[in-house]
Amino acid sequence: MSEALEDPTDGVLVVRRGPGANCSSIGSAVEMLFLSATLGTAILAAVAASLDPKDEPDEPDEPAPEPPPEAL
Amino acid sequence: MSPLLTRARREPFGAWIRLGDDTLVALDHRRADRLGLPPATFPPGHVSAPLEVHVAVTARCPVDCSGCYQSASTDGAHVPLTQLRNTLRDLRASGVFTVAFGGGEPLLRDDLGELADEARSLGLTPVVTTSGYGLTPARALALRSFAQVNVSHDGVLGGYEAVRGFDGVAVAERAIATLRAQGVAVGVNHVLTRQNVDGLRATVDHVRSLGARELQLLRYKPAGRAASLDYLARRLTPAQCEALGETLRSLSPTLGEGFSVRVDCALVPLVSGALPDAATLERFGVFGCEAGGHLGSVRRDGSAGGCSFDDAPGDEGIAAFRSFVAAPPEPCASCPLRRVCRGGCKVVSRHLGHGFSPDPECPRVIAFHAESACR
Repeated sequence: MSEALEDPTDGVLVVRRGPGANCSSIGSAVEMLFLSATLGTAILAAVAASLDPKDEPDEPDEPAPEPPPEAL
Repeated sequence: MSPLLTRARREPFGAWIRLGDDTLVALDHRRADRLGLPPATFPPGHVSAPLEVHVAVTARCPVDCSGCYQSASTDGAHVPLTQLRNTLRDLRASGVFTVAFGGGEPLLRDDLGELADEARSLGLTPVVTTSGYGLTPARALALRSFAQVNVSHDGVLGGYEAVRGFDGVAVAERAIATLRAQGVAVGVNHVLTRQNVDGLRATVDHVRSLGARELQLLRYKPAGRAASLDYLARRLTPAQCEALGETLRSLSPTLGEGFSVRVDCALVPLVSGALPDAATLERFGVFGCEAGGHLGSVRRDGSAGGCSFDDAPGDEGIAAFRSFVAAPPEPCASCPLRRVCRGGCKVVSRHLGHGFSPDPECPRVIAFHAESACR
């Protein structure tokens, strides 16, 4: 089981939207230039969540339900 | 490893990774370790490879744009395919993520789709810029390996002709439609000049209505045929620069739902008065002059440059870009946006006779010199 991070966005240093397709200079998305703090945090959190390995529980919280009789 | 992660490269700070939608993410070591990325060691003085490299594939072009930064012509030569294949392999080996093909007119190469396929097979993200001349449905179909194709379109209401010296709007718009019909992601390159910047909002609406997913705004740069006195009559005025920042800020809330606007590295200083703090810009991947840093170029002769405009022999340009960024003079030295802006566009400062120096069109630099003159 992976060690949990206290702040889910911790360790995500840069998020750069891409790729753009210009051959002469490198571009940056305007919506990232003027992000509100709330939206910025949401973007970081979404990226962080997509990277987190899905932790397997050591044991199921509840016993698996019995299969219905007709399936036996 | 996360299924969304398509490529990764270890760095002294941790790692750069690429997600499935081509977003690049920098992680610290702890995060990189959690993803299971193998550790790496770096020698003292290690310099990371660029994230993105621009590769010139031809000097040939069927049109004669008055401001062509490469001075391409109808009798220009193509870069040999073998050389380009070797370049792609070298870029892959060095850890580059994105390769942007440019010219001349890349569409004049019959093997352009093949180059994109090869880049994909190596794990690179290929993109390309075109005028749209010569694009047919069959050619468009062959370009589906490109993550995005940008078509040059300098705006409505005469903006295109004002920038390029001829009216190519119909060709550009036909190319956008053809690419879309073949399932190719399309963006638009839009060079901003004094003559067309006031039509920017109309251009944004128009480009969006054509189905492009992105509008890339480019500063007009004095290179190639544009390196002339005419540059002074085409560059944005200080008032237009100030208004551009506010226009972009007002556009921002309308973006992100399948349509984006991007500013190029050279525009960052011009709109700096409207930007937030450097730390926020850095965290969301806003890049100023990254020549010789996150950006590199491969010229038609196969040599490496800091950016597409770097024509210094050998590695001189790359070294000059890096030394300037490491220790810029005032006012860049004490500018709060220094880490992002990195001194602005050196193509401009060199053309205006200042060598590698703070961007002479940056409002902060203009104000600094005005204050110095008063003292």
